Amino acid sequence: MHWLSKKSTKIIMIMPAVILFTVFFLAPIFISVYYSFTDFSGIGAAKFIGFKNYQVLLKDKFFFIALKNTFIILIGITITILPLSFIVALLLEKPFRGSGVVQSMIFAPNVIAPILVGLIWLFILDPKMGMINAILRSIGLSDYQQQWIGGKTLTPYSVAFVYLWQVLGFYTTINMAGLRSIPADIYEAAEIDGANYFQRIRKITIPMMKNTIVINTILIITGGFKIFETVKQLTNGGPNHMSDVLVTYMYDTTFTSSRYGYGMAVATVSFVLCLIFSIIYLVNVGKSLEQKEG
Amino acid sequence: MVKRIMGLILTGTMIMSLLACGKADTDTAKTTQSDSNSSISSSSEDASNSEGDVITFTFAEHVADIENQAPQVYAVVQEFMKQNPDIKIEMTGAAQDEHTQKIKLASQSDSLPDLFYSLKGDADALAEAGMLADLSEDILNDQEFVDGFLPGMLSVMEKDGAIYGLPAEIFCNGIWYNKALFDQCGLEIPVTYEDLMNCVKVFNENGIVPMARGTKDVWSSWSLMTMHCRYGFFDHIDGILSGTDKWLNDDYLRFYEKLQDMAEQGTFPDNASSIGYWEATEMFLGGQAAMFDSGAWDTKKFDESDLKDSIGFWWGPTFEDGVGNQEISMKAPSHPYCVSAKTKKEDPEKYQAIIKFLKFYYGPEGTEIIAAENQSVPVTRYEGEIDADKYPVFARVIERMNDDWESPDTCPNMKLPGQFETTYFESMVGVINGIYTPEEALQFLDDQTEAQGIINK
Amino acid sequence: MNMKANWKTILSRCVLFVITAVTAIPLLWLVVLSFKSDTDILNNPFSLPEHIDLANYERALDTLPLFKMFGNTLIVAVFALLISLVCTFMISYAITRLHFDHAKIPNGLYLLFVSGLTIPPYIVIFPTYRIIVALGLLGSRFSLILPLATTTMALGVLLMVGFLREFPSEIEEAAIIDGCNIYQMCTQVVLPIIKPVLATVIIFNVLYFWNEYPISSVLVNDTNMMTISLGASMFRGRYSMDYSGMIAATVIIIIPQLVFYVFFQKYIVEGMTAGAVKG
Repeated sequence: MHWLSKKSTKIIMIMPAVILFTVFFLAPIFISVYYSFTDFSGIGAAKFIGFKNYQVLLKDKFFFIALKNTFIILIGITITILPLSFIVALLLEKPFRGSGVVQSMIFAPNVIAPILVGLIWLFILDPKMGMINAILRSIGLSDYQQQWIGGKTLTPYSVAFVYLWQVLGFYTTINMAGLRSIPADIYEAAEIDGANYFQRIRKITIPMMKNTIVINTILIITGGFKIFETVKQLTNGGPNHMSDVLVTYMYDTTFTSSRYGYGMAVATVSFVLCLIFSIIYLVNVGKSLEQKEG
Repeated sequence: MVKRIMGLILTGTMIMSLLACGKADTDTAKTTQSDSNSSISSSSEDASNSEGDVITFTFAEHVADIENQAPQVYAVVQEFMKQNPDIKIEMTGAAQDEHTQKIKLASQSDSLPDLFYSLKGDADALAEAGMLADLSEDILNDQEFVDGFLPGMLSVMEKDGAIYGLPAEIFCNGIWYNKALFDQCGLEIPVTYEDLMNCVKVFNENGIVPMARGTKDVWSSWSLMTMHCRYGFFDHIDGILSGTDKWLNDDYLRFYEKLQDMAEQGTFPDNASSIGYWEATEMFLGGQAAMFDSGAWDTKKFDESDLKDSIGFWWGPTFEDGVGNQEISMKAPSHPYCVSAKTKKEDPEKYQAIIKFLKFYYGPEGTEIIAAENQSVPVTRYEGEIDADKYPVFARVIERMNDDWESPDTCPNMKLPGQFETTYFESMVGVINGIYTPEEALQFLDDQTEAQGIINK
Repeated sequence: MNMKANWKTILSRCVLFVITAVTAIPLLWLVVLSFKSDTDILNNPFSLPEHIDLANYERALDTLPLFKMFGNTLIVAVFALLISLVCTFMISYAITRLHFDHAKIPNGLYLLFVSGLTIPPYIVIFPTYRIIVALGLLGSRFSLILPLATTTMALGVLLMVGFLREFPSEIEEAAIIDGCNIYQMCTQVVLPIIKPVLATVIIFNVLYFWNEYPISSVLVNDTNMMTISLGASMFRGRYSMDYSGMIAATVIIIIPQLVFYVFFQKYIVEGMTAGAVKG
């Protein structure tokens, strides 16, 4: 593309996006990071206090609980969403009667207001009045009842499952777009060569979907770090921060407790962690892709 | 060349950040010139209105749907506007947490509404930053007006002789009870803690939740605070906030042990940690719970429910090993309505209109509308008639309001710095949830007092 | 051969059925709940309502100025979508197709934009508000349009760069030899190729604008400019919640979204991709 790559062309192509991004994304982040070095309640002046917020953070039990929960959720959603959304996309690839309806039903959870996602799943997961435990009681398995939410340990797993329910359709849609861009002739050629269905999937589909898989993984990592409303509605981070995740703890400190400076410190650490994970992943994938091509 | 551009971008970002951080004042000029209908910005367009026939001021409430969720306020505003056609009140509302955010943001861009509800913690910060108008001259010179307030109401936003706000409502917290369920189990309404625990035992045997509570909403701990008052909350709190006393003291410890006892005896629902205030309300209204921790704001809802003839209201149990007077009620001022200092300074005519409205709201006519027509407990004295047949629950609440149980000047949570309220609630709720032992909960408060740096704040 | 095909079809249908059921049952139950009262919802959550009572829907329609809200959302969505798509396309194309002296620049730009995905919106709402005020935009529609357009760029860049990278550039190189300029290249050659991605990005962006809450709640102060996503908060009282009204309102709001999704997927995407694959 040398011919097209005049300086002026490059500048025109990248400038609008870069300007918008700088003003509405980079600048707010700089400001937030600045506030993480202050003592600020949201009203009046912000008092500069250096690294004090970060010192408090390192000793903050609740922060580490939130971190742990976030990781549990991340691992849970990664190992379930990637394969499951892939399979569903494969199943829906060839349209059949009613496939549109099925696809939109699977996607529908993605568009429900988060406050209601919380309400629905509250009624399913609540230990006392929820559907799951009610069913267990009615079929005589009362001993297997658990505190799916509201207890000390199981909430992150429940949150991961609810998140899976919410986004399955989203990732399926991305996968379907990816599947559709694989030219049909490659499959035809392989079929002529005698490859069966599973061989075609393994040798053609998965390699050609490499970029899509990368996209999905990045989205899952960043999405997992950002989970907020579900936790807020199911348990509000409770009891006593036992089920907090990074964003809910940040929200709690910043808005509920008006400790804006400290909240921004929590936020800064969270998004730096997320960034590190994403970059490590991208760099590794980039390397392996280059090696393959090289 | 591209490198130079990158450098420019970075510099531009820095400048942008500094711009946004630093300049708050010059921007209001720009904001008001733009064609904005924004109801939060105190537009100087309104100043030009006051030279005409109609004065308009903005009034921001902390509920989204004022007509349905704060009907008494809505009614007073409508009546006032009817009687004063030369004054127009622009009401806006947002759900509580959104409203709080908006007020904070408005304070940063110097565009507070003329009259607005604020949480006390935020109001204190605003007052310190000089953004609230001092109402004392206009209020204190009117003795009749002052006498109309119930005792202690005017002190909520009083600082060194200046008054920065008037209480929006009364914190009239207590425990509702469903008499029908008590009768059903052959129980009397409890008076002491022992009575209460006995009732708890009997209710549990009969499959009834003794007291509905949703600990997901930690702030729904009202009657617990009153109980804390019966264990000398106010005897220690000044010392704690100035560093000479600790949360972990014997009086408080006995109270927290009672919390643990209540939880262990099954006073609260099993799933308290996964439900919130709304679910607890519905649990009570659905007849599943015998008691419910809440306050007078639920009166109207209860008067409209099926249980209205059996719902009663009490101030909570007395404790044998408590501290001081056990007959403590909670009739303290709630969070305030404040007036923007900017309005007072820049638009005296508008400010006088606001004062006129406040005198109406808190005067006899406003009180009548609030109490008689909307069954809301007013902040001012109300000696009128209440139709006990039509509003039995409200009648019972007013009876309690008029009894001789003393109330502290403020509710415990309002005594704490705004940022610490949630921490305080969490410590109590933590014991109930079984996450903390009483000692751990109080130690947690001491640790947080230090970590959050609130001593002498 | 036929036996195998049938067996596979049956299995795949079964799996789909189970997944759809697990996904859809909570939704259908939401619709059931929308006909019950608050007290009923809590105390008898799983029972069917005794009669179909439209009171909740009436209240929802009464509380929400639906048409105005839909209109506001539409305006914001259209403008933000246009801005976002144009910017995203241009920069994705630049990253993947244009030649830079240092390879680090396009990689750096890519990482920069993708890092936008790591930020939960709550962190930036206060600073964004201050910036909007500093720019004098508060109260205008652009206060909402510009930040929303920006937040969607991260996902857009991620998807578009991913797909453009996968596409061999022979067609484009042929076009250059034929002598087309950058504008023709983008609109007539590349755009048709990336239709599946474009359609996907459009769907996601539109639905995102529809449901976006944190930024809207802070930047929209004027009731005349309220968007649909703020609707649910109209039902939240100080301590109380009108859940039944909220659920009814949500059902009203979800239905057009699902219709949009189905319509877009079925007619537009399939139509587009049929063309793309052939080419």
